[in-house]
Amino acid sequence: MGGETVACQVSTATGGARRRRFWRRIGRLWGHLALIPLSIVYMIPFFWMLSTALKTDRQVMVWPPVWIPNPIAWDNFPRAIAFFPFWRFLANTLTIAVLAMLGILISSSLVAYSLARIRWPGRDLLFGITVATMMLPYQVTIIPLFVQFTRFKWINTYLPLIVPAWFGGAFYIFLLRQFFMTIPQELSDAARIDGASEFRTFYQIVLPLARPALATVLLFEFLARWRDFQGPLIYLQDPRKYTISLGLSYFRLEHSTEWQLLMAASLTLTIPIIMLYFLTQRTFIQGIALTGLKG
Amino acid sequence: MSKAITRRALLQQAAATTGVVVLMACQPAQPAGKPTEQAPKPTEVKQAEPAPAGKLVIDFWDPSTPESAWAKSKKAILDDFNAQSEKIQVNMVFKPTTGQTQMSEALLTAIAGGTPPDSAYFDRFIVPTWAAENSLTDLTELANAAGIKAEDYFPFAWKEASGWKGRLWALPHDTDDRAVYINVEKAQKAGLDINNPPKYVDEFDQWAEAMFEYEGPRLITAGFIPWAQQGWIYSYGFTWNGKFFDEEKQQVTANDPRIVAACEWMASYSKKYDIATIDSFSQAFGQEAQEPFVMGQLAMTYDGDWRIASVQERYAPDMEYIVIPMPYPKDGGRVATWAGGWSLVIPRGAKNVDAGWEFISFFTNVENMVKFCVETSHIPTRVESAKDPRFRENKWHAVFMDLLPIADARPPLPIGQFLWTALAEARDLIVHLTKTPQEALDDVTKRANEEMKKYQS
Amino acid sequence: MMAEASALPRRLLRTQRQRNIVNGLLFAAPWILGLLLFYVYPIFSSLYYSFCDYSILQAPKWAGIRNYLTLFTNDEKFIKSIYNTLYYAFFALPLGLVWGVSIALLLNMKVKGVSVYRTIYFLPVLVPDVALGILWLWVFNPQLGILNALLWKWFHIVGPGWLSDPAWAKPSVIIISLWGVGQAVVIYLAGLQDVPQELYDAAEVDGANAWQRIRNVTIPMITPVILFNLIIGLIGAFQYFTTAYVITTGDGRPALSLMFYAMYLYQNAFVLYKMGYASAMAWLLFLAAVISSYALFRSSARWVYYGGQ
Repeated sequence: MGGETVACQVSTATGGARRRRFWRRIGRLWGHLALIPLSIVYMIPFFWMLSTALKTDRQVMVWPPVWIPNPIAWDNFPRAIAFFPFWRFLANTLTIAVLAMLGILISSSLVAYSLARIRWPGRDLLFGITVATMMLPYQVTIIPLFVQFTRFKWINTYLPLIVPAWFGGAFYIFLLRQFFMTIPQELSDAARIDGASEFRTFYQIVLPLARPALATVLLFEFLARWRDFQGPLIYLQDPRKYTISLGLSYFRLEHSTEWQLLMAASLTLTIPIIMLYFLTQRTFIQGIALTGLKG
Repeated sequence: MSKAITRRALLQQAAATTGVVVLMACQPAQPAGKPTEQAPKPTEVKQAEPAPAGKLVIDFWDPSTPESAWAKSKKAILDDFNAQSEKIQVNMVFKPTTGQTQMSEALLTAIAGGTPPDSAYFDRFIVPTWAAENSLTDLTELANAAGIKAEDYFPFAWKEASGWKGRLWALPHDTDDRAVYINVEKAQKAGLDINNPPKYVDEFDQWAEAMFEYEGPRLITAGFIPWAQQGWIYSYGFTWNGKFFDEEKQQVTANDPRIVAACEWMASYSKKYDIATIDSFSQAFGQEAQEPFVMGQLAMTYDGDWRIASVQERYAPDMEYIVIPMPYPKDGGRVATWAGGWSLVIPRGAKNVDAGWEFISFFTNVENMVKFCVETSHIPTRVESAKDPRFRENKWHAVFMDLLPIADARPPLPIGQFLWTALAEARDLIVHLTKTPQEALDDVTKRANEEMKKYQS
Repeated sequence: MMAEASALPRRLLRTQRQRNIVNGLLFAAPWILGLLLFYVYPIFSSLYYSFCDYSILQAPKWAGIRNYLTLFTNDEKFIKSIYNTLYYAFFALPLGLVWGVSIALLLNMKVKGVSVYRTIYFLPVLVPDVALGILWLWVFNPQLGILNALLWKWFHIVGPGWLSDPAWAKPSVIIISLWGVGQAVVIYLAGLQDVPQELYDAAEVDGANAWQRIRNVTIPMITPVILFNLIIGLIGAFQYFTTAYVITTGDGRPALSLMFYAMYLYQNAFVLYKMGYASAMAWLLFLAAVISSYALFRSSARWVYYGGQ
């Protein structure tokens, strides 16, 4: 398509260089102008969470809502953390999340490789089935899945929350397949001529080039585990095994919710994720464009 | 070409990826470090109780969050039980409720999977459904043997607990009922005599109208919004003296002319005041976070007794208000309210029915019910427990106590939840004037009776 | 396991085709096994339930096609929920696509502080859903919400009733959905990294302006992820649930204008004890999703460009 034709006509840039730099600068200015106001709009939910987390009991009820709390209730944070076994639940959640992330990463990338880069007869059918599994609303498979895990004697363990991840996830397989498909076939061909096995091609050529996609998979799976409420709720029966998302439901009282504490706890959990996302940006943006197709 | 990617580069990649994981694992666990020392760990201590040797350990699933007064009071009763019982150790397990019902999906799936607990705290309203679905243990014989009888309880509570085939499926515990709260300041500002509150609904409408307050085109205070808070079709249906179920014909009669009239009255508010405006006052605050009555946006509200403790005393301790029974139509209405609340059950498939019974009958005995209800500002379902003078210390709470003997229960039917949902939707369609009360209620009646057939064959 | 696969004597797997079959199956083995272990039983159970009366509490009782029949002949709410869901999908999907790609393009510019921007646009994804629900009720409150206040202040427009007006409720949740594009943006961004810089340079030398570069270089190169986000977006729109559920506490107010398909399905399954009925709904939704995504995939041959082919 368009990309190819343009790529063929590489010529040396000289004359337009200065003009180009000028336009690029103008472009960036416009970029900021568009990004800044939109950023404010996108920060509203977060600001609100922050502001609620710092309100006293009474201030939460003020209408119209106040954005800057006065006084600032810093003690909401220690109170929120003391409201449920915060550190234990956090450790539980991280255990589940890390194991599930590893499983998803390994299995989904293998399967996606099969679907994207190996030509075999059943592959399109398997791909179709993979995408189709996402189309049946999960609400109607909860019960039979629970019954099945009961038969496995997996109830009240973390196995239902971790083991399936090691067999791949449709969303991630589909995602990685799309990325693997964009990697030039010549790379694999060259490797094959060099006598590399399929696994080596996968491991040494395709995976490194798909780094942003792999990071995305890790991020999404992490968030999915972090948020999963239903799974831990029905599979875990011993409160000592509970996770953070169940912990957040501790703030719901009979006729009201401890909003300020709920927000404080959520914030305590969210800020490290935000920092991490911010700091690992490079992982998300290093693909072919940066690692380059040198050789 | 491919040589550019060496094994070493690859190892680095792998290390980087694992690094992300490890980092994710560590990061949240170490910010500042201080909170760990500061944080007391009350819940942890509670759960880590070792079971004394030789005791049978059973589970009690409960939907109240462990740090609430509600849960703490239950825990105290449970501790008493464990201390006095030589054979049984009860373990309290917090199972948050999910969705629109007061039930946990966890209990539902546990029943389906054949792994239910031996006892559970359970919304009394859905007892008939679960009983009809053969999912609760029949307690009739056990109750007879223990001398527990219908007269011990207020009629509405027993009606729900024995709502299926006349057998007993649950032991009623606490309850709630409903009445009208009036903001004294708003009433006086509107020139109304607070010592002479309305008795009939036409006077009540005048009060409401007087308290609607505008600033230009903008509504500042709504006098009353029939469908806010506890203003369900049940609430007014009973007040208008309607009948939702015909016992003889075993038919749902939600289109009883009295109920239609009650809904006409609700719709009259939508017609008289701009529906979008007042509806934004009643619903758009979402759950309970922004409370229009406390914030002075609603001068009168139809709400439950729990408001006194969980909203008024907590968020507006200085606000002056009175509580009156819902005014009724002069022709054919009556003083009415309805009561809901909780009970204790033994799910079907429980392994230790006798131990479960020993625990739930202890938990719901007269003294423990008083203890729990006083500590948590709930209302007991046992007539004997309700006699405790502490329930009348707050004079507005006393209004709710007075209403108990005449309180109705929602019809205890296996399709109770279906009917509830259908009526809630009908109310919404009626007040938005999408359907007339007659149309909406005819539809509910028809559908509900179709559902009933499933249980009648 | 994999290493063994490739180490199989070449003699045995004479042709590339044979090797491909073995390798293809071996690489896909975890997922094939996973499908057999964790999907086959639940999926076929739910298909069976759809032909039963099933309350979850008791064993399913065969009912033939009654559930399907009732859905189409005697359930106003079902029809209403289809209308609501299609309405939502029809607007939210294209809007989300254009919006998501635009934001991703902006975030892909080499401007100062781009990491900060990227984090900001991802923030709403990290706020708990329950919290978001309450926030939107505040923001969109017709009387005292920020939105109508600003509309009045800046444009002297009296804003609509938004979430409390049946006519405005769906547009409101469609607007709200734009806050949630963060996940899709992350994927677009990852896709944008795969566009080689050389292509841009070449296009620029050829005198292509910024719009032409986006149109002819960037967009074609990220069509694989656009297809992905479209399919996922379609599935998400058909199963749209969380925001509307939180805002209306599950009852689809006002006047059922926010009763979406998956909400009604959930209500049947877990509130009304009609899992059989819910399963029938689920399978109809499944069919609709399969057909529409199949159409999308068929069309994708014409507009998706895979660098690897």
